[in-house]
Amino acid sequence: MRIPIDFPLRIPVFSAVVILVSALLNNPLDAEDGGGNGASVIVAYTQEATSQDITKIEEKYGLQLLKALAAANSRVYRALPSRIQEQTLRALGSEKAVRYAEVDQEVTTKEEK
Amino acid sequence: MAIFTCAALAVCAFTLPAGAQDTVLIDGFAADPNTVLVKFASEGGESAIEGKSRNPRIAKIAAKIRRVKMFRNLRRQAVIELREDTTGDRALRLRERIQDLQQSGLFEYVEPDYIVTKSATPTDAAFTDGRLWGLRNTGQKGGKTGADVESVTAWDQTTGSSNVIVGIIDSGVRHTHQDLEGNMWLNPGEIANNGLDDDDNGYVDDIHGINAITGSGDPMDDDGHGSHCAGTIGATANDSGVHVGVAWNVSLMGLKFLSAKGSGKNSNAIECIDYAIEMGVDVLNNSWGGGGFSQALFDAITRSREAGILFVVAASNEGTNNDTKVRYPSGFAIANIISVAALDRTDKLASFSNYGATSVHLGAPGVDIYSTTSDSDSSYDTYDGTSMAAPHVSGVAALVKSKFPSLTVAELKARLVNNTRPVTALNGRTISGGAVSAKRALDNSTTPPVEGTIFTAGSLPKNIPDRGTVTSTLNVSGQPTSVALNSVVLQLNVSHTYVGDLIITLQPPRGSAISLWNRAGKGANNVILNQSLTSTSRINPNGTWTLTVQDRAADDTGVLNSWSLEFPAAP
Repeated sequence: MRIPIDFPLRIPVFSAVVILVSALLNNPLDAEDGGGNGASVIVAYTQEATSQDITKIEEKYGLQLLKALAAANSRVYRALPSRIQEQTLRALGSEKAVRYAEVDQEVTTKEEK
Repeated sequence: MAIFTCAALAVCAFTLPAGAQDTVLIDGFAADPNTVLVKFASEGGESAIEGKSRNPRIAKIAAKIRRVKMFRNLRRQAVIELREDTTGDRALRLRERIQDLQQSGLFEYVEPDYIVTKSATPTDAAFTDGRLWGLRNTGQKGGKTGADVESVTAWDQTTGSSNVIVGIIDSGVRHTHQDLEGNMWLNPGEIANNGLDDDDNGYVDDIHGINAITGSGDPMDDDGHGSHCAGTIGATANDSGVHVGVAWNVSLMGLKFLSAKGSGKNSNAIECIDYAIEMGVDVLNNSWGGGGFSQALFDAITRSREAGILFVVAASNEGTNNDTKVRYPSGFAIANIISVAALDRTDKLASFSNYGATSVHLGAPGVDIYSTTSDSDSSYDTYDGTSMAAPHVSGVAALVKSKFPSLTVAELKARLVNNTRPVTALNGRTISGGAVSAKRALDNSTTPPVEGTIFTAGSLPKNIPDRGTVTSTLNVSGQPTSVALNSVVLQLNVSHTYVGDLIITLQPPRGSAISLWNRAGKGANNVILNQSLTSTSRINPNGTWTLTVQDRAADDTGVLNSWSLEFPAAP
């Protein structure tokens, strides 16, 4: 394998690209919150779903838990990267342990100040 | 013992403030425990109890009487002041003493001296100077006399009860505000500020509610919107604060999920709803909305219905028809929801207010509404919006629930919706054609509509693939063997990015398929139906119904979210 003459220069550039991609994957720009009012998704599980089922699904889809809604048998996760969110929600919806998965929609007050 | 005459006796009694008087309850009415009204059996009967009688039984009675006050112009009639007797059950003691007097033979009748009060009107400045036109509209500032929630006459019957809990799902409540503090809900299972989750409900020191954004037990308001709603519902009365709510006595629970910017997420609203259910709320005020259909929010409100909670919702502020474009959460077809439009002080529909002949239930004051805010413990401001209309309805609901605590949520809703004050601007634009009325809702019992039987399809939502077909089945049972199809109500919710691609049919267990949608709507999003089936045929409906959604063109996809069939109640 021939080593390019500018290889030493490419190493930091390559490293920077890796770091940037990694940062984006772990902290997508549309998922800035830590459980407050940032973007998120809701996944409702079936009554029959076990904690192991849920853990498997969370691992399979890389879901990062923000909070559990116990009464709703649902969990709120950090939003998925927008480019894959729609297809991921559909895939989640077809899982046996999942009743439905949806975007955690934003609402606002209804006054005219 | 003294006997004297007081021509103005009745006036003397009526001018005593009720709150300053010692009372007992006789047959549900307040009475003075130490006075009775009598009519002597004969002229001069009063002399028998002046100690002149040798009859030991009468002498014994006379010993219990402090004085007799004869009415000058009412022959043989008097007020008898009894010597104070604080032993045992005082209401029972009064009844016994009345019985003793009746059995003495001296009187034609003896009866309790019931407490009469003047009409209950608060002394709070914003009420007396007319700023709170929604509570009492006398035509101030160009308003229309009587265009209010008819609270003044209602307050003669009840001013509310702290037993009724109203949750405000909003930006929080400034629970230290001078006009709110006294009516804040107090969690009976929690010890304040000890840093522990005493009642083990997942929140530390949740004395007045929660903050679902932070997960804390402090619903302090950082926006003002929630505090404004809270003040309209239940600001305290007759105090140093200038404001008074529709309900003078109520327990206000703060449920914060909207940020200081006035926005929030469905998931946090759901957390608030479930907390309210757990803590036994009676009414939930929801002056917020937005987004599309959410199954998770739908399910949470359904849980609140099952818990017997009235869910009051602002109709929204686009000035549009909710029948045409559904707004959430006001547009969810869930039986405990009341959707509220906004009226101005002349009984006109506010220019910004949404409406809907089949989707908005009633109107309420929502323009130029003065109430508490969150800037300080003595801050107030004037807001407009259906956000301000909904709390008037929640306040009236609290009054009704305080007088009739055993009402079911269906009965409570029926009282509010079926006993409105007719308003021309709401005729044909709301279900009731009127504005909420505390007086009428308290006066008139109403039989709630008998609900039909609803069958809801399971295993949903299902994705509608591009150029693909999805089916969903629903099993109906226990219905009469002959039902007119046009008496069956279908509710359908399909999300799609181009509804002109869709063909939707419903196949009953017997007979022909019914076309519901045939590539209509072109590029519009979503198919939401809430309608009777169009066929006039009669069939045996028991069995499996199949809904089929076909996507017949390339590029767009969607989701079959939900569908249900409601069969009419048996006559």
